[in-house]
Amino acid sequence: MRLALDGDAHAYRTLLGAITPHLRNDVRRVLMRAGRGTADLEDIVQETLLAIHLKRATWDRTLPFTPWLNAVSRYKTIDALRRSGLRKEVELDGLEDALPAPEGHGDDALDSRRLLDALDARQREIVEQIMLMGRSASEVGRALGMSEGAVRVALHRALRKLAASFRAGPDGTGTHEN
Amino acid sequence: MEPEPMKTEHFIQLLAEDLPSRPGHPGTALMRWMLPTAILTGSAFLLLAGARADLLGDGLLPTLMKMILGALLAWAAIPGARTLIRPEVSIDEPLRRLATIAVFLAVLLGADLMFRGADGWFLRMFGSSVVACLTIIPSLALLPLIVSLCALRGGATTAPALSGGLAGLASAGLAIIAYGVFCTEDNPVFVATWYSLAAVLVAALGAILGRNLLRW
Repeated sequence: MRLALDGDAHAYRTLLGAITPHLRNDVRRVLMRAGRGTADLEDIVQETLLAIHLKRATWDRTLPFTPWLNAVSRYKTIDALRRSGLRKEVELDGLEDALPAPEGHGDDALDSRRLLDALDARQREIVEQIMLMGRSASEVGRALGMSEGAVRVALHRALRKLAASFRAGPDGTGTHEN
Repeated sequence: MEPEPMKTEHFIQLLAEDLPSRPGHPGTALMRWMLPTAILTGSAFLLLAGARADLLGDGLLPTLMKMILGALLAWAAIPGARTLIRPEVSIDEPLRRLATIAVFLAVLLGADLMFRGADGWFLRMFGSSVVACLTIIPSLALLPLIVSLCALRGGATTAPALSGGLAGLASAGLAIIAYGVFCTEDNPVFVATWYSLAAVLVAALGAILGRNLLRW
């Protein structure tokens, strides 16, 4: 993380990739204990990764990284549980048994579409090019006729919007903030 | 270990592309915005309303007492609000300094009772500017509170209401430093009662706003 905060993107990718399985295990454990299915698992993992990314400046680099990481993960998982709990009470109370259980990661496509809906066309284009085509910001800029800096600004706004739409929940209820 | 689903891998790619965005530290933002805003509002108020006439005479000691109360509030609340920017801290740590304020208030009240006795205690408590005290202090604190909440939004507090409340207390403390130079009510009983109540009101506002604004 120290290297990553200094701008080493390779170190950052490696770090996020390495902590993801741990996050997934932690989130799964909390979901199980709460008696929830794991349908939202990958969603919560990604929301946590996004929070780690956006709040990385709040980690004091003179202190151990793990307590900070666990605190972020716990906060986001509990927040997601609370949200889905509210949703279930309102809409899905007693319906869970009647609904087909989601298989594995079958709802990934749905999630990404829902998330991308929060973005405007330009932001969606940028996010898709980076995520699905593996392009860098400068490559995307060339493809869309934007400067690399403009792409980065749009990307950062898009990520903040994604965080807000995660917070709001899929049906758009909850707090709307940037 | 199960295989990594594609999407999260891609998502990490997305985050790594945003690495150069380099967010600043919210604690630095807090100091950079709250303190100057409080100084500006405070000096603007004193320019308009004027300091008390006997500031350098009889009024000096009571004014110092009020400024110390304001400074203590800020001293107790600002580090708490800064600490709570980090998600992994426990929430009782920032609360410990607040006990100092209770001690200071107790000393004020004790000294007043010792020197003037219990007679007229009730009258001294009410004075003549309760309304001014309860409106001007919160008004002066409002702008610093808003900018500090904006700064704290960059943080990752796991106790949003407490963070907001501490921001409110700090803003009230800074407002009290300015108001104390203007106010001519010198009874410790008055100060301990109404200044504290004004600070509690701002803290409550901060807590309510923080509960909504500081979630992340």
